[in-house]
Amino acid sequence: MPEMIDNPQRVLRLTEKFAKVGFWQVDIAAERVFWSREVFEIHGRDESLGPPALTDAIRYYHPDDVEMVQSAVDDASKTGLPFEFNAARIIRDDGTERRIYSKGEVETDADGSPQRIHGVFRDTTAEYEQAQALRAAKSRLDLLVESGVGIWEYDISAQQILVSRKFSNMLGFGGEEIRVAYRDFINAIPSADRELVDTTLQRHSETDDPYLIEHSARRKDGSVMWVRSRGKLERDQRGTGRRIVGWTEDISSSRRTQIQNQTIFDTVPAKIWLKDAENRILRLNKRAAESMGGSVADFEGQNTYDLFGEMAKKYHDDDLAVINSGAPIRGMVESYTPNEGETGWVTTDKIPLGQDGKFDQLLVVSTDITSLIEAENRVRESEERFRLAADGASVGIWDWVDIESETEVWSDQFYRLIGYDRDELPASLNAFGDLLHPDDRPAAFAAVDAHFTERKPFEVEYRLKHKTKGYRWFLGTGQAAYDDDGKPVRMVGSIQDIHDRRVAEENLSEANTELERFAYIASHDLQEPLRKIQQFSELLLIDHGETLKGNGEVYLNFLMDAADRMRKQISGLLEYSRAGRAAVNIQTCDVAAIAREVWADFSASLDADGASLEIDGKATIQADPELLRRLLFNLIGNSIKYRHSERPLSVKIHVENDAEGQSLSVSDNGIGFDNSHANDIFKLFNRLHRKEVYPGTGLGLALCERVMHLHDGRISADGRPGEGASFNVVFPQPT
Amino acid sequence: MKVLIVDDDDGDVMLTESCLHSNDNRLEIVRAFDGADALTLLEEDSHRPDLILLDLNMPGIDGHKTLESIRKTEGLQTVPVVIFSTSSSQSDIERAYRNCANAYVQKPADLKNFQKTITNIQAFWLHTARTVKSA
Repeated sequence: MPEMIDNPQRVLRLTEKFAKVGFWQVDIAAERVFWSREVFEIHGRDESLGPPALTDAIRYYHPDDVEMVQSAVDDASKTGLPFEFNAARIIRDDGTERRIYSKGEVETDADGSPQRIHGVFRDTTAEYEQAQALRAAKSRLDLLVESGVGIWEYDISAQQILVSRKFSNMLGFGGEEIRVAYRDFINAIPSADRELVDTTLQRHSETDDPYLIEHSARRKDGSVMWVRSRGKLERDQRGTGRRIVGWTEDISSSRRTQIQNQTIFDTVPAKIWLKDAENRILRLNKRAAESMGGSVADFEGQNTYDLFGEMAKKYHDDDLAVINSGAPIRGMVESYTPNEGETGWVTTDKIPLGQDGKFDQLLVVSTDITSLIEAENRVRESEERFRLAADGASVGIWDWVDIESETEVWSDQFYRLIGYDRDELPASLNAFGDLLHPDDRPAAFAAVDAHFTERKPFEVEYRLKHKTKGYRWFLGTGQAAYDDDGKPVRMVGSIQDIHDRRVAEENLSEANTELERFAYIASHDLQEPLRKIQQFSELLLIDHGETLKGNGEVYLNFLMDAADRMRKQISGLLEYSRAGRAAVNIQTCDVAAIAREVWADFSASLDADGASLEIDGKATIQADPELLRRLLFNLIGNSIKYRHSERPLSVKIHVENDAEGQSLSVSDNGIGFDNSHANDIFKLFNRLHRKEVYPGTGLGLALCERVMHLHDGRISADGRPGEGASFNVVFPQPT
Repeated sequence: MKVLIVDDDDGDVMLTESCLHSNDNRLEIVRAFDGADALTLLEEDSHRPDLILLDLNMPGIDGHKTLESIRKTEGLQTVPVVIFSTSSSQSDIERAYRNCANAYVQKPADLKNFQKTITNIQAFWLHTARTVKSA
């Protein structure tokens, strides 16, 4: 120590050396500059050159800083106050840049004019750079904090955690920095992740291994958030873990996505496995686990060889092929047979996973398509059945598959019916239109339109041109399928060869017309001679009766009687023929009223005592009133004619008219008949009884039958010999 | 008084004639066998009858056509024409009245009614109608 004091020069050197501070002095009057060694050192100037001239010294400063330095020195000279500046730049002799700290004082004479300036000089480049780096780090940190990262500090020795404002804000604690006991901090974490966080922090405090964990955290309000945390251990000089500084990021939203993914993973109607090349199950979803008879935890991370032994090999070979080739397999259909139940079907996709064209994992997605296969089978079966039916049927089937398109499908029988081979005439709407007789086209197309728009049944008779036989008559039927909007989308129908029937019908209709005309004319023409026989027999009897001898008068009566019968038969025939030609005029008919009128007409000639007519049921039916009158006339007339001689006649009429249809029955308690004749009695001129006992024309019931035929209805008879007869007629339901 | 019977049926004509004569034996009766025959007879003014009994169903020119011609002939429009036919057809009846027949009578089947009908026609058209007209 005394040595130091003794040698101030040496003290200065030592001070300079350890404090890295240089001294300088400027003698203003002498214009001389003094630099200590450290100042030379800082400027990188060779000491042997001596300090620079006063005017040159200022040139060491960076051009941008010269003005600042000059003015500071000038101010100090004027005021006599010290000056100080920091972080001014100097350019050393080697060209490098340094930041320096300079502080000086002006020494004045008695007059107050400055004599000398002296001061200290220090290289602050390192400090400046540190401060710069710190500022940059600080602003980065600020940014981080702003972006939702919470900073915390775990003081290991104090067992406390300091929660930064941001982190506290994140946790819902109002953004105040808080210090909590480590245990309390850990206990606030939801139990599922508590141990994870605790052990991770404890291990890190010992091993210093970097860590990054995702875990749940609880906000002040109790709600759970998902965070990602990472921390860094700081050790003291002795290497003991002192504290862990960490940051925590809110990942709730991305975690939600992850949970959603997991949910999708588990609820998608497919079995999913992620496997590696060693046949290990890395991941699988619930369905996949259930299909293997366990839970996800039972299989995750397991090797399928361990689970299934050699059975796994087949799948592994397939899997390896996919991983090695990198070519996915899609839509592989396999059957499986569960322990109980019927064989099911799955379709499997195997997709290799990896990076940069190298694959090391395999995604297996397996979908149960049993119900789909069953539905397909059902469709196929029904299509098959339809095809069999179509090909086996005597009718030809056409299928207008898509009403938007021209294409149709025609069955084998369709082709047979029109005499073409399948190859000769492709099925289409156009081809069908060409086959159709031009005269029949408008009606056929109108019927299709009416079917589409008004849903009227499609049933049309039309002619199609047979390949060799010319136009032939067909009965065409069809039914469209409609979509939800009621738009027709498809139509299927049939054609039935009715040519022979149609031609026969046309011939029959002609024949019938002819026959009726004949019957009408014949009955008129037959009436004439009969009238003559009657009239002149009568005239003969009146004018010359007395002159007839023996049985002459009896013979004449036979003649007249026969003529009378024949006349009645002819008028019956005439009525029958006329009925066939009448136009049917359907109206609401009061059955009871008509029946009572008919009954009244008969009652004049009805000499039987106590005869009664009863009518019950509905009052009206839809029929042609004139034809209905003739029907009732003949049926009631029949009951009267065949009444039983030993009991009073009772005729009962019952009328039905409801949704089932409309019908009426006429029953009596007469002599009845044997039911073996039930059908014959409606034939023309058919009689069951001798004409001497029950005179009749044999036309009445034939006329009834004809009346019902004209109504498109029917008549039936039920007889009980000796007990009575019942006639039942059914009218069609009016449209 | 004169009656023209237009009918191809001999039997009916005989019954009609005997009935007319039994009521009035001075009655002049002319018979035409068909329409053509009748129209020829009617061309001669001397044959203008007081009543025409006209059958419908005849060969050649039938009763309807005959009636049409009669009603178109000058001087014959006012002669009473009674259709006397077996036909009960509605179309025959309507057509006859359209052609201005004065009456349409169906030939009755039995003798008594036949005679009664002829008597009534004769009484009305040859006596009552004439009396009303002249009055």
